[in-house]
Amino acid sequence: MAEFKLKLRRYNPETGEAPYWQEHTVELEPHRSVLEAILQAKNNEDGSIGVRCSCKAAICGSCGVRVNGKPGLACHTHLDAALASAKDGETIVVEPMGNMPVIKDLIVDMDAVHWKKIQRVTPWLVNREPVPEREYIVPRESMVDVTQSMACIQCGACVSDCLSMEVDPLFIGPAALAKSYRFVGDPRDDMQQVRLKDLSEDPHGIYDCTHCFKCIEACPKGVAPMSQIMRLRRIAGNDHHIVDRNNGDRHERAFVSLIRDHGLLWEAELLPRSYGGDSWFGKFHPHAGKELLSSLPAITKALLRGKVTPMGALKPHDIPAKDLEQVQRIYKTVEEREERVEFNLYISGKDEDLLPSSTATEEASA
Amino acid sequence: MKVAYWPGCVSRGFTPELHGSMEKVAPLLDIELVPLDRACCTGAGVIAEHSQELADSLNARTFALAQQVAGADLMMNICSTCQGAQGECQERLDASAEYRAHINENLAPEGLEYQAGIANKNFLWVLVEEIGLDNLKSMVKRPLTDLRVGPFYGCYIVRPTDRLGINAENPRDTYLEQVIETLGGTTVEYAGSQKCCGFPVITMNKQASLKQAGTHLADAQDADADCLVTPCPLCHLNLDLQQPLAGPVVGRSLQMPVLHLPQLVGLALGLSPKELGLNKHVVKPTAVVDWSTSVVGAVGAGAGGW
Amino acid sequence: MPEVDDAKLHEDEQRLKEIIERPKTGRRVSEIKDELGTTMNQYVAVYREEEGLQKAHEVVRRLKEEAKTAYVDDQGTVFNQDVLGAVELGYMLDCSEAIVVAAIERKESRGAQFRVDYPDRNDEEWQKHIDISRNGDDVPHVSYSPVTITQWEPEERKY
Ligand code: SF4
Ligand code: SF4
Ligand code: FES
Repeated sequence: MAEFKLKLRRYNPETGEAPYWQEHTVELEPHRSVLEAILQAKNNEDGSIGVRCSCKAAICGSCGVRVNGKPGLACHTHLDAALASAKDGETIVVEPMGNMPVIKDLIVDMDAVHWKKIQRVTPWLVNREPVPEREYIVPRESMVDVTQSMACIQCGACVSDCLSMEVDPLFIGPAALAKSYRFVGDPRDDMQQVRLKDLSEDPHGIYDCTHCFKCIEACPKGVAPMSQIMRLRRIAGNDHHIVDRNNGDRHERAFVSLIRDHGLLWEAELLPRSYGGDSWFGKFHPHAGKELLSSLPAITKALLRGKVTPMGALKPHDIPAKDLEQVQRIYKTVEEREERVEFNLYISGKDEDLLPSSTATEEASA
Repeated sequence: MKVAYWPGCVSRGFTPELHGSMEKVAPLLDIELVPLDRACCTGAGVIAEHSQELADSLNARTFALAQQVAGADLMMNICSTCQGAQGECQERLDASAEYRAHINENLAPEGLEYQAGIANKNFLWVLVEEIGLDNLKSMVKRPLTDLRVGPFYGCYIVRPTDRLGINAENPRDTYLEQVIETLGGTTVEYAGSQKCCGFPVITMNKQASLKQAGTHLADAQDADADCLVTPCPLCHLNLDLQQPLAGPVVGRSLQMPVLHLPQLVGLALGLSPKELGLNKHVVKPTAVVDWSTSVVGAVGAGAGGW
Repeated sequence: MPEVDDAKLHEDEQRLKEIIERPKTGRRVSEIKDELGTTMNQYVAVYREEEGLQKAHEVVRRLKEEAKTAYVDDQGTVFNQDVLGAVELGYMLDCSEAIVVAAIERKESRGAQFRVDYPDRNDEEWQKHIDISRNGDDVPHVSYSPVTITQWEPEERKY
């Protein structure tokens, strides 16, 4: 048994008062969870503490909160670990999740945000026609491929800290987009193209993710929503050639071909191409012109300050010709493959995980 | 120490002062830079988004080139995004001998091969883990006394924590603060220090992108920072180059200089703002330059004028 | 959704109001719940015997009384989990008593019940259901009903 200092963010909508902090001291073994600590405070000291929970075993997804500023499951966060991440070294701070309105104390309105976004992505299978008389027969690998997105328990931890959602509340967000991959990746689903077109064209869809890794870090189930979003982009662009109005696909294509052609990034060319289209002419496209005009103050200032010399901006940086040839050969080899090669650690695991433990320890001590 | 040095693209393109300042600072820290001139862009996550195999192959090629640099202690980059993009590829390459063999096949025609386990560190990590803070402190010529610096990490160098080796032993998500303090400066706490600068969506959702940059800059301004420091040139683009556009989006008048990490180190090691390319920034680092001249003035007076 | 008549709704509302307004003189809901859990775990898990079961029954009866005055901290109407806990406690006590009474009744070992004092299975007398029904606030009423055997003949477990 050890004592732990718990600081809870409380909020009661009926009093009309602002949220406030409340401290409790609880006594529990260090391997017990933050949820147990909250419940002990609730049971012994103040029954009005609001916190959702059910399974206490990281299965039901009810107990999403922020512990010391980081989103996660209260029942899946050990007290000793929470103490170790305490900002002042002694107080475990528990707050409701972010990006969702607080209903009371640690309880947020999942309906208003999380579930609405899940509904947005048609979270069910639309049968591929013709529907077979008995079950669909699909390759085993294709189902293994979607297990990662199926592992989601809808806790909302990823939604809580999504940095795109923070500035654009309309962003469909990590959990819902991971859910949509679950069906896009399912060979029985009939709507791959429709789903992807929809998610690419939506200004708050797959191209609105700012690649911040917050959702990967937050998810207690290893769903890695951001990786699923990248796979959605990959399939949308490579397999369905969807050129979206958000410049997402154009940007990706421009980037990839600039590296192919020059080895290094040529920013002055990337921006206009992202807006106009992936060729040297792209920058003369009307979209590109409009966009450049609106960033002109920034660019001319950069020129004036001598940051970007006209020559530097206009001339591509290249790597030596022989090396560029190598790079282009690698491009060719990979792009000519009939099937994409992808290595997913979630599914394959690491080599060392497969070693019998005796060998692993031997190696470690060697 | 000798490092296989990967400067990245942006540090030689839109933010040339980054590569420039690193070259100035390296000899003062006794770092010998062996540039990986033959390597290509890491893909910044975008190539991986297009094709994982392509990104892994291109970066394996860079690692293989780095492993050929005789006598190098490790590979070093000066760009968080490079660190993150390369780290992601390395994680896959190191995880499986079979997958590594497959990728190495793509390098074989030129006789290159990546061997698992390369040490690839951002300059920030090199400062703390290789050079050491005590050692760094002893090299400081002009402590950043009274300079209030807001650390801006961005995303790629702090998340995901396990891939980046952030743990109790190596709290790499606190290194910027540690370096600022070691150089004699004052760390400014503000909300955005580990949030996204918004750069990745600048072409897709400009409003959202500028709102991110603007919010963090305004937060730092409200916390009375004199400047921000970042280990990522892409963050620098959104925070500095785009600052004139970001202000109006958040309804604020912003005037927040943003320094590259080697520039901040260089200032403390006695280099002049001009040598470090501070004049190349879009937002004039007036506060920083004024600070440095006043310090020089003071030191000059005390030491009989140098 | 089934129709609910207003009188019933009103009754339930009153019941909740009564719980919320209880003076803080009785025991805490969580305390009773805790004692109930500990008791059930101690005496009414897999290994059971008459003496323990009787003890458990006594405790459950007492807790049922105490539950009537158990108080809650939360007086609000938004997400009041406290009052929900008090309501649930009533059901928990009902279920616990049904379990205890049935366990005392069944003087044999079968399935998940191992009666230390009756270690053998006794098909002759006990191959039947025990039905428990509410009896106001009193000890529940016990009756029996026959077991319908379909495809699988019940057999003694030998592992
Ligand atoms: S990576 Fe994308 S989806 Fe995930 S939290 Fe960041 S912005 Fe949101
Ligand atoms: S993806 Fe992970 S963090 Fe997000 S809701 Fe699902 S389980 Fe929770
Ligand atoms: S209580 Fe079910 S996930 Fe935490």
